[in-house]
Amino acid sequence: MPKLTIDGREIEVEKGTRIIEAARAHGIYIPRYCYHPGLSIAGNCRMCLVEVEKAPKLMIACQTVCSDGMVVHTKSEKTKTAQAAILEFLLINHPLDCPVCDQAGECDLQNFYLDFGRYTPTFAEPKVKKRKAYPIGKHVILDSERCILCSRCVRFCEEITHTNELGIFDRGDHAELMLAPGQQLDNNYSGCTIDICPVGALTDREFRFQVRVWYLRAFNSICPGCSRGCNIEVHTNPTRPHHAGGERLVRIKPRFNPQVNRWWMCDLGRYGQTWVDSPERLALPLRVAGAGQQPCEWPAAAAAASELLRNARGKIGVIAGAQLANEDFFLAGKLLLDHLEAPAAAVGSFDKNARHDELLLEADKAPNRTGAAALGWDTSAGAERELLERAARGELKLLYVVGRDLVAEFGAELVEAALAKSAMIYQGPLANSTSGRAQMVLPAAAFAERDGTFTNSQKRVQLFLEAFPPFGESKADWEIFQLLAKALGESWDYRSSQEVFEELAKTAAEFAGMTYEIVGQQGAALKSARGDAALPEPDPAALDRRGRIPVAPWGSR
Amino acid sequence: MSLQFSPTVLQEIEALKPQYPDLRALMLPTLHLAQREFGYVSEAAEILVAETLGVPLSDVHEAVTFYTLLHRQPPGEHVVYLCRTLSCWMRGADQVREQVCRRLGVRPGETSADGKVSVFESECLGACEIAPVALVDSDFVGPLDPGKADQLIEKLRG
Amino acid sequence: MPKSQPILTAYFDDPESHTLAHYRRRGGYQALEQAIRTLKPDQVTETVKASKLRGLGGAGFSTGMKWGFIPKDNPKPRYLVVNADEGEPGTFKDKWLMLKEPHTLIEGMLIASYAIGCRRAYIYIRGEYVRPLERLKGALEEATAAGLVGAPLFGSDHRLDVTIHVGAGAYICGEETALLTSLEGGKGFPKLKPPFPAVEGAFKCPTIVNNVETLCYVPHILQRGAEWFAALGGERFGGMRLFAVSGDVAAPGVYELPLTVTLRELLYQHAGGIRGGRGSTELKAVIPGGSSAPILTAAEIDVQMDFDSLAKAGTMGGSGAVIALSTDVDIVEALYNVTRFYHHESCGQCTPCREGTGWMDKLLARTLRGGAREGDFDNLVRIARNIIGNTICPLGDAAALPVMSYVGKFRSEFDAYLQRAQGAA
Repeated sequence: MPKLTIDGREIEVEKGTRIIEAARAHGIYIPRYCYHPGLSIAGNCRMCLVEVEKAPKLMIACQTVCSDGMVVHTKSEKTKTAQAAILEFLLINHPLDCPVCDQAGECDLQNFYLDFGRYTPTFAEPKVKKRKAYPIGKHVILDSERCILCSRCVRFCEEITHTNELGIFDRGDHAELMLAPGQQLDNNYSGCTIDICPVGALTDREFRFQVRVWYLRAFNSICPGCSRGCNIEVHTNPTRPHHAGGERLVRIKPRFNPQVNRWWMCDLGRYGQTWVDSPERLALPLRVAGAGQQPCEWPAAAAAASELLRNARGKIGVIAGAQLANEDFFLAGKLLLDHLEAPAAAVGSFDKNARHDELLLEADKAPNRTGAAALGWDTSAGAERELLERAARGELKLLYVVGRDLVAEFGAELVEAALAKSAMIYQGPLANSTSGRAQMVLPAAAFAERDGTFTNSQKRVQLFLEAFPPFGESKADWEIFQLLAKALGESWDYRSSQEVFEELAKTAAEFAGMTYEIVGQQGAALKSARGDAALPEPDPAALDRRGRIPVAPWGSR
Repeated sequence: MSLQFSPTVLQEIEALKPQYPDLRALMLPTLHLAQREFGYVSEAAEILVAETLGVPLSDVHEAVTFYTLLHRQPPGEHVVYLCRTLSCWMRGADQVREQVCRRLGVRPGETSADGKVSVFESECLGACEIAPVALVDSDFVGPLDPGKADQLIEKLRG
Repeated sequence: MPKSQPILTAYFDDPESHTLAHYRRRGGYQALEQAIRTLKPDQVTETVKASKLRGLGGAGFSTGMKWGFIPKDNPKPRYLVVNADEGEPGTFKDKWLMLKEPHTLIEGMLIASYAIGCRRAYIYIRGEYVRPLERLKGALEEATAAGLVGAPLFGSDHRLDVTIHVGAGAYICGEETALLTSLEGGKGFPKLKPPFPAVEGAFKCPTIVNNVETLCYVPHILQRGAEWFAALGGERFGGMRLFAVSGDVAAPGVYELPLTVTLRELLYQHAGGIRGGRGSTELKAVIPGGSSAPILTAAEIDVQMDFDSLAKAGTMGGSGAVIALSTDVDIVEALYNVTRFYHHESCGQCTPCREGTGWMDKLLARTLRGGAREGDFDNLVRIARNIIGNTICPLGDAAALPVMSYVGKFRSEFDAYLQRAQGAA
């Protein structure tokens, strides 16, 4: 284990550790562009040059391995001179685009200039001109003048996605980042190139010109797009609602988790959550009264729904989507299966042939099927169809459908046959062909509008936090179940999803000992996956509900 | 109808394969063969090379745009590289270049209207002992002056 | 100084010198046979080390020591790569060696490969050298037919297969790690060092990269002895080298001389003295080792042409390319020409060289157009200084050091441009 001195402090590191990582582990940040811990070492930007005693010249910290007795100075005059020189070189041909560049506020040219630059510019020649505002894929737009040729994106497409759409062509200061001839940047992870680009060369087409990043706040969350459960940040704009067309979910960024998704997430998850702000969102409870569904207030809705439930005790069929959180499944079970003795409940299985890849994207498009199963719900294939057929045979009086568009999944014929004999309560965030046929519609909050936990396909329980309040009058699913339970006379008094989870952990063996703080920011494995290994230490920072200022490039700082 | 290598070229590529530990190393030799076969390296030729070697097209395009001897447009019948670096410049390369371009009616990088001669500026060709020098197809020609440049152009025009 | 006997250039005037028959008649390939039959590989390396032969491509590193860097315990195949990319402005000696003495090169390669334990060699030759390529191919065919290349040698189990790999126009591919990247199929991007090529080079295997001329001296060293070669030189350098002299001299060409020759002797006794483009016979400045070498004034030419003496004089031996500038030459224009070269040839991989060479080019171009401003030349030197030592490969230094030396030694010519610009304003 080499012992070295860095900025006067003696530290000990694992053999093979590079100076840049040794520094970071001890709270010292060395500026860098081309280095990214998830990619190969390029060593081309030269921003991380540091003074190493006895070395003939400055050494790049990203590649130089720590050796015994090494003495490193990250803030000496020589280091500072080099840092300022590199910045000056990078900025001479860089266009003065800050006023129109989306990267402003999270740009490492801006950031490093303020910390390591502060020189008086002297460049007085014409700048090199390259292509600007050049879409290179569905999600990504390129400005090759802004590009500092760090090659992170090229290496990403080579080493992570193995798709090689990007290259740096030509040479010298005319070298240009561009697509290979005839190709588009259309792999499943194109959005990640935007994350890793340290400057405004690769930016997001959806996010373009929407809102300045300093208005954003980031909340830890989990992507609900599939059972991988990539760790993400939801970025919202709490103080400027007139920006971005009033969209609350402004953008999603991946969050580093070495066990689950490392630094990456797929485009389907990243760009697939616009439904949270869609016009199809249900704002108010609806009940059928005379001609069609009419909006009503929650007390009236709770009363009406509990009436339906009471009358159908013992004959309720529950079909729930695996996008419900652990807390939702727990309370749904207590209410519908225990209290109301529902004879049939199904979450069902998934299509193994659905689009998936070798990296992150999984065929199961629901984030919590493992959690549902761990809480005793039926995830076998065909369970929902069986239940609908039972309803069609008249064996059930009420169908309680949570977040499933049964018409889209099983066809109108089967659903109508079931509804000919049975009433339906529909609970979910979006209006659809199924909710339109229900007697009662209860509006549910989206994942970004409440706290909760999902259990991913690796049996990892992961925490997501509320980024912005529920749309309209919608409520978290677990809250709706509690409302109905109270209307039925139960004395439940959960004041937060955290409290629900703590009771869940006392009841379900797989979750034994877990709390939100223990689940933390990186998750905790179910007992059957963990074996004898201990649960993680509690991390109070996991419950930061104030929202941080986003820090880019994502996960690599 | 996509571009194909002739059987001769394919045989040459096969003969090269055992001389390198992997196919990617055949990049330059194959690009030279493509330029010899098709006269220049078009986008279709790049795709053909990428397929032949099993390498990404971006790798091939990076190589083609990096090196100066690979033509991305069809060159003329004769290709003339005029050196412009220090020793040649000192010995009058600027005047030779002006004369050549004037005679052919082109700027450096262009081909004469009759398709006979392409003219390019080059950096040091490694023939400074006969500066100012030009690489004319396969041979170094020099020392040139505007008069000799005239003669050279006439000869190339036929 | 006494006239020295040429070693490599002895038969340059003979139209048959490149043939196997001619080579054999004068004892060619005997050194190889002797080495294989009577010496162990380590002994060959020790001989070359003792000869004090230093790399003649530009770096001047002890050749024997470099061969010794091949790790003994590494099971991967080893490669010998011949750097025949000769792109350093002013350099043309390897071209002549390949045209006139291709078998000397091949024998040198065979001996080197035996010493370092490699069985595959690549000759990376610049694409512009079409006739030298033909000569090399011809000689290789002869050597192969004679069972010297591609077959076990003299009853041993050592054999060498040789592949010629033709470049496509990039000065940077003369830098050894960029050459390797180009050989591997990529654009000519230099590699980060460490690891060094002897440990991890071509295809991630231990590799020795040697210049053409360096290898050509090897058979002579094995034939006539390390002491003989060392005695031709000085304390830390042996033998002779081919100086390529060009620019404002009356007799540009290749001159094979001991490294104890002085620059004055080289210019005036061998290369015919000064002859400027407008008839000047007065020397203004000399570049002693290729355009990357800091410039010397006419008052500094009594320096000996070995690596250490030139380093002590603040310049370098480099590729042995000597470029003379007469008083007919405008130093600012000359610097612009050289700076433009590095800008054009910069691979673009790393920040200081990519951006800095462009900046220096544009600043000098503006100066020549009459647009010089106060502070420009101090700034030019500052830019150069910010490049030095901060790049992946020496091209950055090669672009920056000339700038510092031209401005440092001929400041008045630069200031004159400023005065004219201010006068015109």
